[in-house]
Amino acid sequence: MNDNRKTKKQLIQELENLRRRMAELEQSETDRQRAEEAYRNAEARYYTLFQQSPNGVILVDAKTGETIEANETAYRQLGYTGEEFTALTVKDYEAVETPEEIEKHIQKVIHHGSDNFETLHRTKSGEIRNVHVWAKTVQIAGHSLFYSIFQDITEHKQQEEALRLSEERYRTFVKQSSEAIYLLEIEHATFDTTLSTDEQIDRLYSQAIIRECNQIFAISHGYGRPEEMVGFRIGQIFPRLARENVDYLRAFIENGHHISDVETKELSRDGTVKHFLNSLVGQVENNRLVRIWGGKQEISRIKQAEEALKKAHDELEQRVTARMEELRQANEKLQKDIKARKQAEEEIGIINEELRTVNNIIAIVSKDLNVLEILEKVMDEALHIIGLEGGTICLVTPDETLDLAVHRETSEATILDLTTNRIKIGDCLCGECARDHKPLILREREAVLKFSSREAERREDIRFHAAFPLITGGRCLGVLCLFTRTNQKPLERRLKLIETVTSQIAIALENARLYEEAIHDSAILEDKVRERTTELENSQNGLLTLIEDMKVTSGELEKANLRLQELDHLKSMFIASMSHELRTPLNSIIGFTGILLMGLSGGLTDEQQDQLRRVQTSGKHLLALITDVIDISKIEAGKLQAQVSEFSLASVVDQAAAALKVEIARKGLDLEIALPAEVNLNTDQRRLLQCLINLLSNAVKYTEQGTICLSARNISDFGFRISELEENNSEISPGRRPLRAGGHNSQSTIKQDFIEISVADTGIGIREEDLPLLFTSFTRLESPLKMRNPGTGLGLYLTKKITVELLEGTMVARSRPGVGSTFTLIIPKNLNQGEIQ
Amino acid sequence: MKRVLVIEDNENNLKLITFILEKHGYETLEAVSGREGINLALKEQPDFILLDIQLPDMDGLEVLKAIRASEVDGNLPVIAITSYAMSGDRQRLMAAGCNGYIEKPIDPVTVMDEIEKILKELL
Repeated sequence: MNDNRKTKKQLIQELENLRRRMAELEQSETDRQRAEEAYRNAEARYYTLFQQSPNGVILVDAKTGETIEANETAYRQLGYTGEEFTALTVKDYEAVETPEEIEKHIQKVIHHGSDNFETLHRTKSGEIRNVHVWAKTVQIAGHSLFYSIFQDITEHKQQEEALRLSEERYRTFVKQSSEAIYLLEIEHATFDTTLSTDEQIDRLYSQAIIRECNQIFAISHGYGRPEEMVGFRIGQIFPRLARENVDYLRAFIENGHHISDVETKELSRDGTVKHFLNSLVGQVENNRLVRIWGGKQEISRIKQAEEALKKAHDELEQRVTARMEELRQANEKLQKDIKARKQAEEEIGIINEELRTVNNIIAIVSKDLNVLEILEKVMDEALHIIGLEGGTICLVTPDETLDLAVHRETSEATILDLTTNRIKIGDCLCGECARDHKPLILREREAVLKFSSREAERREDIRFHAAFPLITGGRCLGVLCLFTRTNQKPLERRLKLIETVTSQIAIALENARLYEEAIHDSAILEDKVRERTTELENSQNGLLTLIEDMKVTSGELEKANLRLQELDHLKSMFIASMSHELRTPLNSIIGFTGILLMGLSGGLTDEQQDQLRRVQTSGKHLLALITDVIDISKIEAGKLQAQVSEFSLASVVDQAAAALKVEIARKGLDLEIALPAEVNLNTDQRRLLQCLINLLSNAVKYTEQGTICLSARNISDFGFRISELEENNSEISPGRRPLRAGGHNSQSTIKQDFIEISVADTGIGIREEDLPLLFTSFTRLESPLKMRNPGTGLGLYLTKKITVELLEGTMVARSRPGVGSTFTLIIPKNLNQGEIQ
Repeated sequence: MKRVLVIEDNENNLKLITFILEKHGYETLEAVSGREGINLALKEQPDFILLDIQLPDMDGLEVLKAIRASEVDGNLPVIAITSYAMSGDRQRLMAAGCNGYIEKPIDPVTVMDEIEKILKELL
């Protein structure tokens, strides 16, 4: 019984154990139920969380990539329904990676446990979206799964891109801008814009520093990179010493913290000052100046160019003035030299002629020993040298009478008288001369009559008579007479020359006579001949010396001639070189100024435009001046030929009026034109136009109000017109009235050969005493308008030269002070009339 | 774009005229001597030529003759650039076959009108 039976105590114990176990079991069941409930609650919570997450959440089988579960956000974002999406794998919506890459990527996530990356997803409609993905692997029931949470960041990305592009555009703009751009910031944040201007200027100088700038800015200040200039204070670039800079900042502040296109003088790294055109824009918030944007353009080159242009222009003007003075002096000298040369040439011609005659006479008297032959030839040479027609040579006979040996242009009556009743020594003209051994020269008819005692001779109407004794060895051998019935008077020097050769003639006569005598008495002859020959030689030597002297003079004259030719050539060279040297650079100045003014090289400020226009005007003036000087020189050198062509008067008048149109309108003057119908001219159109422009331009210059009248009319009797012009000053009056077809020659039978063109003004006029100065070169009359009107003093001089020397016409000026002036050209209509008719 | 050959020895004038032409939409070829001008005219076949008649190496007339001699039909427009002072040369050049002339100093405001007027008259 002891073995199989349990004690009561034992039983109670067992029961107690059972009860305890029961309680434990009950407890455990409750716990389990509680745990189960908690789990269910948690699951529901997480599921809600999972479903309602703003991010897409996908649970994926790591092995197959198949979707196990996806929340609404996930499939909505990708444009699918939940069912559709569950059927997809990662590669269906991943838009960046290939399936192989997806496989690798998954393996990587499994290996590392998690990953965090950006990729692109393709929606059902094919749209590509930027997403950020967080992926993590999990082990569920022995399966490798991973879930990925993704966020759509497309909008964010787009904004980011837009911002980046905008930033890039800004950088590119600043970097590539041809303007220097910079940003100034105030060192201690900001300052108050209600402070006084001076205080603000102080603040700017002490606090504004460069934060940013571009390459152009750095380079324009002599630095290589923009970074080198960051941190500069504005005093380092806009020195306060330059008043312009302070004024500029003042204007910036007073203008409401912005300003544009103001010139500043700024410092470069090497200390040089450069000119800039500056603009500043300040950013003001709540009366605080926060920062300032600046832009500027370097204009030092333009400034330099302007200065260089001005300098070149001044230099040119100086050179032209100097050259013009040189030219004027050279011209004066040349004119003088030419005059001297002409005189010298005339003299040389005369001397040569005389020398030839003297030589002839000497040749005659040296060769011939026949008295009559000698006298015949001597007579001809003497008449030739003295330029008269009549003459005689009488020889003294032993009975003291004069025997007529040779005569020229002597009347039969006189010849008869002289041969039948010989003149006695001391009687009549020749006799007196033979008696006194002196030349007797009678220059007037009255004087001839006074000395002439013979009836036949008195009737001859001799108006000049010269008688020369032929003297040798103190004896008079004969008389040479030269006379004329004309009013011609021979040159004194020729008379002297004749007187000189008379001794030669006398010796020759004596020799001839002795030769003839020697036929009878040769012994005496030889001595006498020898004596006379010595005398002749001496006399000849004297003459030869004279000839030598003349030759020397002639040589000097030839040298002077050569020098003058050189001078003339030099003048031509000078004009040619002046034409090229001055004109070529001047043309460049005018051309490039024109380009700048047209704005072809970029915009200009008003001030620059004004200054350049002054350069252009002065350049054009200078060019006109040079052209005038060259024209005058050419005309003076006879190198300008008229270029004849046919054209209508109206066309050339229109051109002239068009050239002055602007100036006439500017001064508020009226221009009236009155021309006869259908006038055709055949002359130099260009030169006529030049004359008309000069005259019109003068009229405009010296007229302050009223009318300028350009009129013309046909005329044929040139001489008549000139006198009419000079007598009747009111003949051409300003005003429009029909012009008669040439006044007195209105009958069509008279040919109209000339055209008269007048330019009349109602200007200040010219004083009578000044009229003769009008057409001289480099002369400008004193007048209150002289200073105001630029002029060369060449215009009228040139116009007259062209009119007279090229157009073969004439020019007249008439004027009354205070009433007006009229300048009139009269030129042939047909310049080459001879050739054309 | 029309191509212009400018034959001009003065560098400033050359720059001036080519600048104006380019601003008006022409393409320019440059020659600074007569010889170079002839070579370029033959090689490049420009639409027209601006020819300075005062060249350092040869007379403008010779340049014109050489260009005309190489043409089949002789209708390449050649516009002479002449100086005001050289009025005698103009008739000579027109007689020798120039199609027109413009005068120095070149006026930037009017020069293109002058050139275009000459070209228009040739059409």
